[in-house]
Amino acid sequence: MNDVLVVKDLQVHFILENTSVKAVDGVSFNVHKGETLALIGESGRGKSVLGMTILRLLPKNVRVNGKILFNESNLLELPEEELRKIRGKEIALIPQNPATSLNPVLKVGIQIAEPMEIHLGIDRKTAMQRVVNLLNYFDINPAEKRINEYPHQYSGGMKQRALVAMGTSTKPKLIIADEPTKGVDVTKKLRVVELFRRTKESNKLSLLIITHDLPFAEKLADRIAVMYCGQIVETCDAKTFFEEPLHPYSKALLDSLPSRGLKPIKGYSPSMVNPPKGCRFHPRCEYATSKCLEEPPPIANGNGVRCWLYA
Amino acid sequence: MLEGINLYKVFESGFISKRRIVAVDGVNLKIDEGETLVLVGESGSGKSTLGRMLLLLIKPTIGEVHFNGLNLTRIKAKELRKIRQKMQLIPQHPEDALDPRWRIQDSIAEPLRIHNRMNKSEEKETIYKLVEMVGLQEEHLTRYPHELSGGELQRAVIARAITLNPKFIVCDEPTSMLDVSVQASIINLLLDLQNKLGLAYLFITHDLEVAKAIADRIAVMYCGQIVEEGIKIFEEPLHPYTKMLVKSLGINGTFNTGVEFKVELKQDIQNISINQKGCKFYHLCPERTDVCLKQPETIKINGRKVKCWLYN
Repeated sequence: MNDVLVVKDLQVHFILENTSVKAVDGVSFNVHKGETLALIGESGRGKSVLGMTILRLLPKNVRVNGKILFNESNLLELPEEELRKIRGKEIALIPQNPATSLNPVLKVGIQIAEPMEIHLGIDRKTAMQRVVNLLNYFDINPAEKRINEYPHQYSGGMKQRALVAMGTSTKPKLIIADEPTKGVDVTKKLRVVELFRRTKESNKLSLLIITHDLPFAEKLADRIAVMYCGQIVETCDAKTFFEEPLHPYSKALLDSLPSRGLKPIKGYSPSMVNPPKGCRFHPRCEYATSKCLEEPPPIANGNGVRCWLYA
Repeated sequence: MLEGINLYKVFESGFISKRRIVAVDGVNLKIDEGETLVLVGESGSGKSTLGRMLLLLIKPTIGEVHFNGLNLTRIKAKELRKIRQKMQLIPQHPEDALDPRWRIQDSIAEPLRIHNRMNKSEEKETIYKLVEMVGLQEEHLTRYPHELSGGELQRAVIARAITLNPKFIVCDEPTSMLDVSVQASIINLLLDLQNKLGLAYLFITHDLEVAKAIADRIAVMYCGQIVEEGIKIFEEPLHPYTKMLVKSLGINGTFNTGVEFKVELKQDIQNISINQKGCKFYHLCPERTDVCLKQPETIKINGRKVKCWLYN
């Protein structure tokens, strides 16, 4: 088994009063053992929803179709009890906003120890000893004192490191990190890169990073999956993506980087309720032909691009 | 046009045992008409405080701000209010900058209502023109802030900032919360407006790439001081701090994890740097000598200003 996670034709629709929002619409991808896959795209394009769906953390008004295979069991069909053994133990989620993800009235040490107590069945005392080691490892000093502090006494970067520590404490096989660099200073981003590298190397785990920060993804990812309007439009290895992207959206996205000309993508992001017919990128695409208006392109074999140019 | 002379800002907290934080530490700054000066630095280096001080939104502890020859630190509040028409701020979080219970059109019209007392039809016309200029649609006008996306909100804030034909705008990290493609469109809009209206910008950012793309001049700030200022700073940095920034962040959007960075990981550098006597960058500087324990002067070399003993 070479893949830790296989997602097949996943659809996540939010059911509202008289419409449905198609946040994820037919997405397939896999995460290999020991690799870092970065899922990139603009905000509001369904990236985070995808991350949450994997752990079934979504509210009740969603309809989910498709398959999410982890260790050959379909996470979408597992009973809640079984799933709890996977959440936090096998797959950890590092949430988007470190500032609001820690419980403000509990000491940080206790919060980090909790998953170990639950999943590894060790007692509080041993767990706390491990927390000290973890905090030392992630440069939260002095660790003995810091475990007894509350989240508000931590700086933003420290909170994030505490969350990473929590995520890795049970030695999961897969970590899903949702926008780990959002709102982080450029100068501090380096730390985040280093942090994830270290975590990955010492634990031999796989990472799924959800981000719109392209330079960050370039530094960290082995492979890139580009998401646009609920669909994955291109999957390739990171080097290829940054050197010769194929899909027009990937090209446009890269061209909007300050170092590559600061060219904005023309037009507006389409509605997720009624996505454009045919190729979803056609209203903003400079290569669009009449075919693109009518028929949605298939994912081309070989290069994993969803575009008529390469079909 | 705008000049800050020897600006200091000290924040004090606590009642009995006062904690003092020097946020801005002796800054001299000049911005010409129609020019973009980019201020880069890490978070907590005093960039935003300096920006707000130039607009007199924060009163400097010591120092003067001159605008078109007027000393803003000396004039009365009433006169300052008039001058404020010519100086505006585009803040970092557009969602916090607009009143959530006001329609977008009211927010954009507020400066007009305060300063100009136009009649209703003139006001409407002006607003339509502005909205078109910043690339919003008429339908956005009657919406509330929560009904707009981040990029649209930022456009609305920009529209409000230019209602009174300002000459100078402080842009405080206007794109740091936005996606890359939206960032590109907002920056293009700002540059476009600069051409049309002859605006001068103080553009605050921590993104070196953005800085390089839009700057006429760049000033690098570290711990409340401007350590280097001039053109083409990132191509040939002089100050060791600028060198470190460029080296560790790379300049083509890539990072290099290197030795310099490891030092930084070890401890919270900011606290040490703030309390450092002499050069603030002393303990991280690879080229430090004993003389660095004394405060370096800012000196000029080839049109560049550097605050470092290496060049004395």
